Amino acid sequence: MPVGAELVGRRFDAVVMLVADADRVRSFADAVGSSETVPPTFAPELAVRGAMRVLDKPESGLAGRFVVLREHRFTALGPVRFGERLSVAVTVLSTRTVAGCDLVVTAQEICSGAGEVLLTSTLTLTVPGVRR
Amino acid sequence: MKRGDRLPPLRVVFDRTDLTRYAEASGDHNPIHRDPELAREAGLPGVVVHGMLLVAHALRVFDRPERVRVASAQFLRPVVVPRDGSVEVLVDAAVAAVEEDGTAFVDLRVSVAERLVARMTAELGIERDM
Repeated sequence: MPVGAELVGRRFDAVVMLVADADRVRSFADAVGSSETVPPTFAPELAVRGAMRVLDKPESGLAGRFVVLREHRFTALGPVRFGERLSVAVTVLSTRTVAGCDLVVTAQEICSGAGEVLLTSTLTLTVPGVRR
Repeated sequence: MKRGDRLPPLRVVFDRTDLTRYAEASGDHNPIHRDPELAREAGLPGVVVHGMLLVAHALRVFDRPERVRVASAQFLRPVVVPRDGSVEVLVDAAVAAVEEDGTAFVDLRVSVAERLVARMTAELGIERDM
């Protein structure tokens, strides 16, 4: 059975990840060399963080394992505004083993404080080995 | 923008300091982006660039990256950053289709030393406030 199989189909309700205050967004923009107010990967990165948080739960069977990004697709549905309280909901879609490598596919929704969905994303992660 | 157009290629250089800064700004403290031993344990050849840092820079190939509505990235090979040096990444973008309303679909190829490391697509919305 591939790792994380126990989690397939489970939805982890939205958890507040951060408040997108001006300082936090600016330091992110600086780190990616962006001149924009809110770089287009700010919310997608938060989706990755949300998925990692879920996979690091003890019941995932993945806690403490290395996780490497293999694929990420995201759709922006609304703007991220300064001061917005952003949360992430995560659903584990599937797991499989390909050529001895475990893959986990998850879906994310980034929501505003008012519950509006600002971004959806689908991630494929590989889980190459045990971290000591 | 019209079908078949190639955008001016973009060169991006990453060193270890860039990875440290991104780890702090994004909260991604995965050790494969800082510790060569742990990166090797994870089956990687060395310390690698964060996938989403690569995507963030690749989208700078557009004059107005904020037009990106949908993007997908397939990470094909790790982008390894040497300890005291840097790695240069090349981003090539070609317009695959443009719809009547101006929505554009662009294919991006991200390579290091002429080897493809990531394949991306981006859908750029029409110019309006979201």
